[in-house]
Amino acid sequence: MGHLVTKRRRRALAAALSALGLAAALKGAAAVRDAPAPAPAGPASCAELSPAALRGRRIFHHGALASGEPVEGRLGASGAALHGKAAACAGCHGRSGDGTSEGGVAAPPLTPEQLFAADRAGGAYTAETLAIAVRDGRAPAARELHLVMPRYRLDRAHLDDLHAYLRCVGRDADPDVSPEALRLGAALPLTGRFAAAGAAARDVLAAAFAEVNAQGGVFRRRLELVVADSEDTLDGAAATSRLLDQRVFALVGSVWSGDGDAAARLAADEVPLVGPLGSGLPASDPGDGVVFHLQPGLDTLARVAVAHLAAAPAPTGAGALLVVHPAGPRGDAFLRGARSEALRRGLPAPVSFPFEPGRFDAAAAADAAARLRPRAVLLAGEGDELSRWLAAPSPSATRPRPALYAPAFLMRRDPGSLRLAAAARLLLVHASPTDEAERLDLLSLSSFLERHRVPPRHTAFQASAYAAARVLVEALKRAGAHLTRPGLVAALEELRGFDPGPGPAITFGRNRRVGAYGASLTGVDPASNDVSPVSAWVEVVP
Amino acid sequence: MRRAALLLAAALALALPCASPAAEPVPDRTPARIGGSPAGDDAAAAAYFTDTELIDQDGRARRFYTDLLRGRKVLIHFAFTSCKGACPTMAANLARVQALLGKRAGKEVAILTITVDPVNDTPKVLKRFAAKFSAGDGWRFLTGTPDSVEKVLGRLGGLTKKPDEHTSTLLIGDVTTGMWLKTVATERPETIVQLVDHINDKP
Ligand code: HEC
Repeated sequence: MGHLVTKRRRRALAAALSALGLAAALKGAAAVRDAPAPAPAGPASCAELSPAALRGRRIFHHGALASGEPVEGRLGASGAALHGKAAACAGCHGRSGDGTSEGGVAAPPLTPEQLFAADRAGGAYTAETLAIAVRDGRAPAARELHLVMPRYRLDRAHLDDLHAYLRCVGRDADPDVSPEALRLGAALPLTGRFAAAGAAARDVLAAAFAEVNAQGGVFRRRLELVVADSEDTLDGAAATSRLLDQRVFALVGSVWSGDGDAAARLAADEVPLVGPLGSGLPASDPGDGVVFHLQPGLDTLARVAVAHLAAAPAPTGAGALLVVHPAGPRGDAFLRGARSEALRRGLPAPVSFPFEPGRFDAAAAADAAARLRPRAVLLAGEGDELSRWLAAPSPSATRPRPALYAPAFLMRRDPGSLRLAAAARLLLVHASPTDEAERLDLLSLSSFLERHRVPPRHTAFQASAYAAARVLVEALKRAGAHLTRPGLVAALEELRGFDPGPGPAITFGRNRRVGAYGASLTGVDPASNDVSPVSAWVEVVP
Repeated sequence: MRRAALLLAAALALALPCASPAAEPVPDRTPARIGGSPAGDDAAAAAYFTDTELIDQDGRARRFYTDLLRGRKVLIHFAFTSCKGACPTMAANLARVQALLGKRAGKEVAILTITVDPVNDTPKVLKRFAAKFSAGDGWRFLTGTPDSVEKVLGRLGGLTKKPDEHTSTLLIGDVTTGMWLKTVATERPETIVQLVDHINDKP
């Protein structure tokens, strides 16, 4: 488990090295320390940190003072400086203070065993000598510290806070983590229009945790589900705020619109949210932050459509692609995906036909298509746009209609719609696999529900909640016994192709907050009106 | 032809991870010739390397054999952009090779840097990385879906489980003649160019 966090830690050290432009020159300049000396008598207890240690903890992990003001550290005489998060001690010395090394430069362990051992060469650190080391870069016995160890502009009071925390680093628990239980929150609509769906998701989360708890929990911690009612909305902002007030450790399968104060608070408190529900597919990958999406973005669906189209030989005289999409960030993301994939594959730049959300004029769009004679149409929307496009009389009845791609969630499954879809040669782009393995995953979800006496309803919602719980539990296992929120985020970032059951396999990364970059395609058979797979899961590169 | 492909596979497999870049041994000045077939066989090479799709730093799709290897001499190197130890030194070294090659870089001799960390090294990230080394058209930084990259790395013997274990190997090949040899990416640029020029010489 150790290796899961090392890479992340190394980055800060690396950033400092490259800020100095010294990476190469420094090779081998600082020796790697030996293993820590035998532990001295530790402080009475680190289970509950003193107010001073809590302030020091914030500097150590977040590079911020209690006031929220970022700390600053200068790197030698180079004039380069690190601020805030980049200046956090944990970035170089490790989240548990056990040190890291990169490119031949080692940030030594700062654990109590290391700093405060009585038999330490040069003597144990005191509040006084620690202050000199951190502020002036001089270790006991007047040894000048390596330039990569920043010289911090900190008042003595802050340095004393750090000192208090360093007596506990690596032994302290996250204030919201107890050895016995972990509180995990979900904002779900339990009253109002969506109450049945909310209750369905809640029951799945509760059952998933019950199963883990029956096997002893995660590192002996019982998983406790705390649900806040988002009432008549799928927005969840107010309910999320209440959960944050209750100090839940993380959120899972929680409804989320990504807006407002709750989003800001989630980010500021660094509370991870795994598998948001209710907001549909993400527009695109936010690239950072604490919200981890399990479904591909709209941009990815467009990419997969274009990649599929490009794999077929172009008919002679084929025109560009026409992208019909709502104006606004979600439609723009779809367009962007189509454009970059077309560029990637040497196709002509797609033409955009935007419409005001909720005011789709199918006849005008069909007109535009008739004029342009596109090779294919990619249609995005949030409601009945596809039905209206399919129902609109085709002005080019004499010519074969261009290929048509649309996200599968736009498709209505009544016989009339399916007949029109077959005639239009519609290809549906799915955010999940549609293969045999997926069918089996859904079957095993049914038997899971049955085992836990959860009635199957709102199955898509239930499947998403189940996958969210699975991903969170996996990441908690990988994050290790010494659990912190940054540790959980790092563990999520290390997931590679994790199969949570229903839905796509999940891969996150340092700048990857969307777990799936792919989609699958189905078409409607003109003879039977059956929807059947056209293409297996297609991965694309962002 | 079959024999040549097998020989190549075995030879490339030899190019497996050196321990850590920092602990690099002194570069071997006379790199071993590790394989090849005197009469280059395009079909065999195509079948061996495959046309697996990679994406370059400009976001363009490239077929591995047809677009990147065929008909050229190539320098192939493995990297991941978050590696800040000796990795930038290697890329900087290749930047000097690129300069020494001058106009030949590209059509005649291609430099290919393949990421071993495709999840984090998106084309955008590679573009920024490439810009740091003033990489020109003849130097492609390549990523892809994790499966594609794994397939290509497997063919080249650069397969690593974790990015940290990446290899500092530099493969030099003449795809037309099927001659390949390996050295380290920290080799003197002049020596690298000499190896490129004399790769087909009889020992
Ligand atoms: C950019 C990387 C970096 C950051 C950030 C950083 N350090 Fe260091 N630190 C180092 C390195 C490298 C050394 C080793 C220097 C040497 O031995 O010459 C070091 C050494 C030290 C030492 C001396 C340890 C010893 O064994 O004598 C102390 C104490 C220390 N750091 C405390 C801190 C504290 C407290 C913070 C946060 C306020 C911090 N460091 C942030 C890189 C960093």
